[in-house]
Amino acid sequence: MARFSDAIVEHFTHPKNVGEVPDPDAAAFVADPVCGDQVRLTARVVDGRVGEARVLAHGCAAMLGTASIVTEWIVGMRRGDLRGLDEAAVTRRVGGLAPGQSHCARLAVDVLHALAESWQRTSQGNST
Amino acid sequence: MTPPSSGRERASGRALYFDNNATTPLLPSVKAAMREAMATYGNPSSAHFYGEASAALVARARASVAALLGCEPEQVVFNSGGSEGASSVIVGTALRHLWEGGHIVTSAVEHPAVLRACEFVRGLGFELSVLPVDGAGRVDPASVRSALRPGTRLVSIMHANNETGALQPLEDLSSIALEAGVPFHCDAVQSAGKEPVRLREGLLTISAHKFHGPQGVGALVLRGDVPLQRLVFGGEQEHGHRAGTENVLGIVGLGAAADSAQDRLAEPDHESRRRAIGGHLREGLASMDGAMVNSPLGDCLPETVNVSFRKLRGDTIVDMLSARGVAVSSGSACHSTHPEPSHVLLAMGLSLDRALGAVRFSCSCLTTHGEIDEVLAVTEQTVHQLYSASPSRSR
Repeated sequence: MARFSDAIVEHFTHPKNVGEVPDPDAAAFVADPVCGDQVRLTARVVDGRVGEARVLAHGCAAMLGTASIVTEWIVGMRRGDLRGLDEAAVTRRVGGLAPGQSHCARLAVDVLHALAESWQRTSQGNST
Repeated sequence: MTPPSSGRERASGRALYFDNNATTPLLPSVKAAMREAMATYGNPSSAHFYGEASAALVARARASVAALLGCEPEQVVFNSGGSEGASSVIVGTALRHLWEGGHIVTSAVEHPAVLRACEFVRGLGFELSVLPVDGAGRVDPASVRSALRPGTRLVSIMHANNETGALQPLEDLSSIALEAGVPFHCDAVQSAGKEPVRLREGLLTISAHKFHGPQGVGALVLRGDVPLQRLVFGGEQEHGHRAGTENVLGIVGLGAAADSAQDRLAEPDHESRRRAIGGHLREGLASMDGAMVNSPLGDCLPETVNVSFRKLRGDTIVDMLSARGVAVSSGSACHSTHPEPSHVLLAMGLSLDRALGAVRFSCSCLTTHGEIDEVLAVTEQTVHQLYSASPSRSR
């Protein structure tokens, strides 16, 4: 098997939605202490769904590609959708991960769940 | 393994090969010699005229290698390359002294072919001294002198480092060992064909594919009376040092590559051309954002430039450059989420982060200034992209 899917190569060579959403409705940062990969994901919520997502990432090429794919993938999702995502779903979405790259799916799930939590805190803050 | 990308980006531009310390392309003269040799298929050990024709090809190649390395043809033992050469020297030495044991001296920046063979013989009961290096990656000759003791069976130190290009003071190091009566082995895999390599006595190993010959063939030079146990049993090929029917086609390619290398070394502008190419690459990389050059400025193969980019990972840069049609190498690799830094850079005292950020660019005699300009442009764009997308966003 190739080390990277076509989707991952496309996204790490031409990353999408790089940066941070100004005044985001949800923000999350996760880091893998072992391999050193880091992902900061920010999002704007429009009518209860992700309207825009942006990412800053440091790590291996597979992590950078996965992070970029995630920013396009989650647009239109509700908070519950983010919570329902798991490593298998991420792996399918990025076109497969080679052995040794499974940490990319784990870190993506971690940052997506952390984003959902941040979103919930923001929502609760707005309703009080 | 399939390259990182399917060539999508490479289709729009040409591929740029800057991983010549890993292997080099065959020169046209080498291809031509090998193509011609394909018509000759006798076993060089056979008594008939088919065998004689093959034996003549092997003899011609042996003379070419001897001329390149300044030794006698009968001191050249053909083998499968540098790793076999290192094992045959280190393990072969240990096996000759298996019952009385002994001590072997090497350095912390050797190729794994040497270091792992040394680890193996340590498991057989031999003692091992692994000498440190300075910040430029060089062994202090005085440390070799201090390490020698009664029972030292071998000193094995490379000529040029494969990761940084740093050249060891070969003459000084070998003299100290030889004057003490200890055989000296020089792993000259990375320097042969680029630098003049001369060893008045002792052992020297080379690999054809590092200087535009074919993969899977190399040579061990045995000068003087060095006790080595052979590792491959069978016939009496290679003066009894290595059994097995010779890889005639590969040996012909090695001989042709040696001829070509000798011609290059004799060219009056050989050294200035190498320095111009290497200097162009080095200066271009050194001027980039966050760059820290790890290859020493002096006494170094100019073709090799090892550079780290502050807070970036070398394996990521390698993968991104590969997807953009540039082939380079990283000293580290992400194995199962554990990035492994280069033992060479750590031995030089570099930080873990800097070692993990290292990328090796290596040229050959075929590299042009135009290619270097292209590589510098793609590298600068890639480094800028990675910095722009980093959560820390600072160099």
